[in-house]
Amino acid sequence: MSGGVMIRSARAVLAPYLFVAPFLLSFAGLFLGPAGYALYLSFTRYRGFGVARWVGLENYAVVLGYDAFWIMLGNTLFYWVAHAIPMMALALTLAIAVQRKAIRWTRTFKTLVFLPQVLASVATALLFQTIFGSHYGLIDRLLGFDTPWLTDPALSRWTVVAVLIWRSTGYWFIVFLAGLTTISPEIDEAAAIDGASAWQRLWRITLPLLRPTLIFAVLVDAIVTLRLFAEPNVLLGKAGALAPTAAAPLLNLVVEQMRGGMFGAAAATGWLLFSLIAVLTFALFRLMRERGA
Amino acid sequence: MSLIETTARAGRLSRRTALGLASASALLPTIVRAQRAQKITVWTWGGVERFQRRVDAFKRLFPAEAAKIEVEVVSPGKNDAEVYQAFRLALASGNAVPDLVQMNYIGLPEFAEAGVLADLGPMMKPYNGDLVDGARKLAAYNTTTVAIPYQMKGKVWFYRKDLFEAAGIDPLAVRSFDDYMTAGRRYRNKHPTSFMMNIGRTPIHWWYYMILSHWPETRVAERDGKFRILSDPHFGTMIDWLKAWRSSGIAFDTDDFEPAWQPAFADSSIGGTLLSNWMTDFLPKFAPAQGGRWGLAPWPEFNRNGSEAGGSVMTIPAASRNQEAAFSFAASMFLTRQGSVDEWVRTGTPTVLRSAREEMLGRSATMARPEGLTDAQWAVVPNTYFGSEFLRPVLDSYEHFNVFPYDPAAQTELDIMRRETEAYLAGSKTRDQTLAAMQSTMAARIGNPYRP
Repeated sequence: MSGGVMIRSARAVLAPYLFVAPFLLSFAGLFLGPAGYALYLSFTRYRGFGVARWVGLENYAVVLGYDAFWIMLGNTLFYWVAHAIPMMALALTLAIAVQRKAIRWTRTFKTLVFLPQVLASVATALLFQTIFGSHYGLIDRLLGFDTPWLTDPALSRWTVVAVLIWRSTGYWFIVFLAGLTTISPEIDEAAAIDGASAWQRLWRITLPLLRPTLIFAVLVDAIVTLRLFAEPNVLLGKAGALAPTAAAPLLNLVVEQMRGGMFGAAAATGWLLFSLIAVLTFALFRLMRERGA
Repeated sequence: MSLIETTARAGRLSRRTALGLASASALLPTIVRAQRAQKITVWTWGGVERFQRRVDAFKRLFPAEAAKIEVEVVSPGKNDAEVYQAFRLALASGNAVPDLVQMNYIGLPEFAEAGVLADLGPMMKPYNGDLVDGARKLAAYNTTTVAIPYQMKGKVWFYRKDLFEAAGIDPLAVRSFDDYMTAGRRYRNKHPTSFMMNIGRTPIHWWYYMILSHWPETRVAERDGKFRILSDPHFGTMIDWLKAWRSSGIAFDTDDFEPAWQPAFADSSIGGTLLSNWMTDFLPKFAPAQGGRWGLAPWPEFNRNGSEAGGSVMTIPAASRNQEAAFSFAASMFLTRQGSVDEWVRTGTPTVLRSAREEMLGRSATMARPEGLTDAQWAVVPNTYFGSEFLRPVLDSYEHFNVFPYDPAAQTELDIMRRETEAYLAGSKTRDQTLAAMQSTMAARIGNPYRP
């Protein structure tokens, strides 16, 4: 084999790796490296400077034995389930309505539905404080009630859910609309000619063909919500403090530990959260694929 | 055309030599400035604007010092906790360690205990005699001087003079906790739509150490790591009071800085608050129409001593290379009479110096509206809003000033106290369960707060 051929062959082998090298390097440097370091820290007692003292599994044991961890985990799962089901249903319904031209002025409608997504989460939370504020909030003033929407945990968690639905519906509406455009209208028309009702076409044709988009939506929304932080804290926190425990998401515990200079415990909590997200995502993925198969 | 260019054109210097000289001459002003002024970096929170005005005042008041010190203000976070976080990172990396760090006293023990703050004892010596007692407490951690104090957060009771008078309540006559509760009920009887105080379901964080700092012997943990929640009765007293205020009906149902707090002052739903002297900044903005109706008094005797988180201080990291320049700047602004009085005029922060007290009171009594201030702006200046006599109760609160003996895990201890108290106030835990949970959680999560 001549030298020129060997060089060309080597180039052909190396080229793909060179193309993905920027991503791999940044992934290793900006994610794997810090994640590995956080894993190491989770087995130490470390205040952010000075010496990290090895404590084995102590941080994990302490976090798992802390009742607040379980309360916050319960809150996080509640936020995910309580918002995801109505939000996905609403976003999908709106997308189908637009695709089937059941709504006029679709451009304006799309913009309006997507608008909350553009607003900063802090601005959103402040807006909802004005609406749900006790004593002086818009709802209480209109209805003549005095309801502790933001201070009673039984109600305040639902207020957070309302914010999450309001904020994320527009995003998934656009995603579902994009997914619907990939389904050939000819299939739908053929089914209609064959006498399938609108409901049958939706249930037997549209939803099955939209399954990859639905799986993507459910998984990504689950990941995002399990890492929830801004909405409950800006809405329910005050004077720089985090939301009360009864309505706090799990990420609050990580932030609280870092604020208190307990980096080992914060890393352990972070890894527990990561494990939870990984297990849930895998389980959801398997479940949805099996249902579809 | 410059001399260098002329000379080079004349052919007496090579082009390379001429370029070298030109570069040197361009750098010369920078080199000279660097020799003249030593650059220091200051870390504060919530933006640089407020502190930058302090730097501008430094240039105006101390031009000779300012010529030697160039101050760069950096805001690495929106609150003090984020500044501590950034400071930890700087200490871990050893890079970009600032020369001055603003802290609330609650955050100081973690760094003082770790020995990463400079011992300011020798530098502070000339100033100690002029500091009020409380400020000296703020400057020290254990027996070492580690901070330059500049803001004391004394405990002040704000009350609506007109509403209290109509209800026949003299704040100075309210001594015991029972007196306070009786006054609250009398106030409610007289003013059915107004309350003498406010407290919500999740009492704001400053209640805890503000109450506990009254008792000088109370601390959360001993140096050997033993927590004192169960052995010190004052922790139980604290949660009892919070519960009594919540359940007795004398308090408006909202926490400080919740959305309803501000409008409740404005429409007179709240007619009083047990808080700290910094409320003089907020109240005029919350209820601008109530100018002249608010009075200030010390907290009732049952919890008069103490402070809200101690106060704010400036610290100098041991790793700073410009310790003397940093101290010189801070001392000029906070520990000299001229700087301290100017600080009060600009920001409303009362002086911590004995020698400046009378001058500040005198200026307060004769304060005239500065040029450029509108009627509305002038009306909400604390001096105008509360009346010039407002400053005396603030300074009187310094007489009862006490700094809680925070330990390096104070922030985590506060988080745990708040969490368990929330459960107690919600009725999901009994008093004994609450205190036991505080103690056991601290022991499990913190271990020994003095051992890193």
